[in-house]
Amino acid sequence: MAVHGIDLGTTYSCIASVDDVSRPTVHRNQEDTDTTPSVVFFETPDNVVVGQTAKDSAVIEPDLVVSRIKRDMGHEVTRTMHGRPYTPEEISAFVLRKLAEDARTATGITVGDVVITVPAYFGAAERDATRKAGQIAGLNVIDIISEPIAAAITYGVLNPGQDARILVYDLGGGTFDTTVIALVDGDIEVVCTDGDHELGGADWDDRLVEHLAERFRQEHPDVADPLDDKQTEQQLRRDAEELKKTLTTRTKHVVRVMHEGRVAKVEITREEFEGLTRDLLDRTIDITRKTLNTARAKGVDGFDHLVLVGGSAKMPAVTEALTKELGVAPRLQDPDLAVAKGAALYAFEETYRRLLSAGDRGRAEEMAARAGLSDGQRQQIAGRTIKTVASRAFGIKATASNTRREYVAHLVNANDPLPADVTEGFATLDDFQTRVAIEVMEQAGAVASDAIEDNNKIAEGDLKIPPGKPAGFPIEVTFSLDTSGLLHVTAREDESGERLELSVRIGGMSEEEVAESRAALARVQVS
Amino acid sequence: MLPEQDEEVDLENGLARLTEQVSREHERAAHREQIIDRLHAENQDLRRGLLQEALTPVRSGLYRLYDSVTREATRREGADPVVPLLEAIAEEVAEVLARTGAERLEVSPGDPYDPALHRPLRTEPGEDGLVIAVISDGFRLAEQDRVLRKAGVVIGRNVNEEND
Repeated sequence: MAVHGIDLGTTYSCIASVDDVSRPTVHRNQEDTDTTPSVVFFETPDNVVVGQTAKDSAVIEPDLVVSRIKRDMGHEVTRTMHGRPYTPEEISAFVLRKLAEDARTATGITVGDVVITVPAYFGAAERDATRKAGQIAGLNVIDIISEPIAAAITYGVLNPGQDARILVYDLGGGTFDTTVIALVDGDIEVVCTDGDHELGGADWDDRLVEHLAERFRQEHPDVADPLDDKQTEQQLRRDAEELKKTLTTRTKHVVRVMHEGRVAKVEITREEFEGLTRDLLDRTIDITRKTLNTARAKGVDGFDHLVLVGGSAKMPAVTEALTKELGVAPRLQDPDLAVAKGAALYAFEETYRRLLSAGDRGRAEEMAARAGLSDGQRQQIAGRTIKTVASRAFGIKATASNTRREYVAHLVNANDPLPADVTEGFATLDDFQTRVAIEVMEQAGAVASDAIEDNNKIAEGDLKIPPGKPAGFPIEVTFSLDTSGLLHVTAREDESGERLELSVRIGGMSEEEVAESRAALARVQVS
Repeated sequence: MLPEQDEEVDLENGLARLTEQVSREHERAAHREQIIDRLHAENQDLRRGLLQEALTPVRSGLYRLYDSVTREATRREGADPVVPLLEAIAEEVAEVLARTGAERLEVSPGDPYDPALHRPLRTEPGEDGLVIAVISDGFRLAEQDRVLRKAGVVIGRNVNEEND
């Protein structure tokens, strides 16, 4: 069984695997495109449509079409379709099933073991939800890795024995992310990540559409606004996309805006286009600079490689601006498929490593031989590991004894290596307390903060205190966070041996629920 | 010289020869990798139908032309002498498209909605689930029986059934 890598994106998804000459190859879907819109249409209770047709169907059945479900991953929100509530995990599972099914149609090989990518800022809850989406889809998720790490693998800049610092600039259709990765002694780690989730290539298109419409209005003020006509607007949108693509290879292009029998001939040069969208590009550059400053504060001063990811990174202005700003020529190869390909490479490598560490050298070597790997390549693969770190801070709600201010005392901080096991001592606040409320908090925003409002409560329980104890009676709290994002919290007082154990299934769905929904949804046809 | 020293020299020479051989093999392997990279890329292109891929931008330009002319012909009144001319141009464009293998989909009002052939643009009151109007024509690749572009249609929606 081949192992696959899946880029489960906000707007588009993509699946790839390593072929018989050890190259990652993207499998096209049944509609013959590399990427599939991450859109799900609940046509009937037993039939779900995913992809372009689902996207088109939003016009007639908007209430039965779900898009951008990735934004809900790790949150407990459901969408009810035909009377059944669906979790984000279940809806994502349909996208995964479509990808797996189409890959099987294209190659004849059933998709089993997969690695799915997630944004670097995804916390334990979102990662766990993504893993569960894979399980519901009937896949065996061998790992969840960060998108920028996957991209860096595709670019071949993560080689063990060669420490490196990598800046990843990812400008997708609707999101922008920038991440610094460090490879130290073979361990790969995300140093910091930032971005703007409302900024993407679509904003560049919008500017062009507005420009084309404005030029038409100037030339023909006596006819109706072209943007008021749905058909003309759609044509302008297609024209803008084409124009953007054309201007990556040519320095000028002409678009004839036709509406109501009138024509406006609009010639636009690459410089003009760049002028129209300068502020958008500047925003990405500002965020990139900020990310580099954050990395510097964490001891990562500068970077050795700059890699570009996302279809919109193909715009020549991106390369130019980054070269000018950072003094390093960025690498650009297949930016829209780099994440899926990297996931496929990682899935392949990880399977090889696991076979080796399980002592199954025979199967490991057979797998490597099938992909035509040399001894050197095998050794290189065997030595590469991704260090899993906590992506956000976790702690408990505490009250300062002197000021009575409530705050969050963090036990695990973002970027702490996993598994993490931390114990801290606390004490009762008042005389004769009979119980202590343990409230487990998770960092909500991008930056850790001890303010209550910047954290979400993810679990709570009471620890009993023996009667008659004065204030300051000691209790101990232990946080154990494993690599899959399962948080185990223990609070205890040593005198009577009273304990409170909380297991936080960060992610919402329990294993039983996952198994149930996998069985229930297996009956639903996905096309 | 002592026999051990002899052996040592032999070993050293052997090792040097081996190192040289390995580094030559390594160079050749790196060269092979480059060739595989190139062949792999070519193979990918071929699998995807190099010709079809090359025709895609040409077709998308022709679709646009076809759409604009058809739309303008529809917008003008039937009595306008320009209308037959515009219609003729649209027909010619459709023929050029057909010569690239892209044939017009036969879609007309009254057809039941088929998501494989139709791209719904909007709904209007009318018989539920039927195509009410064709806004833009669709095209299919005849030889592979594959839809290249779905027809843009208006779908009927029975207003009374809305609340079920």
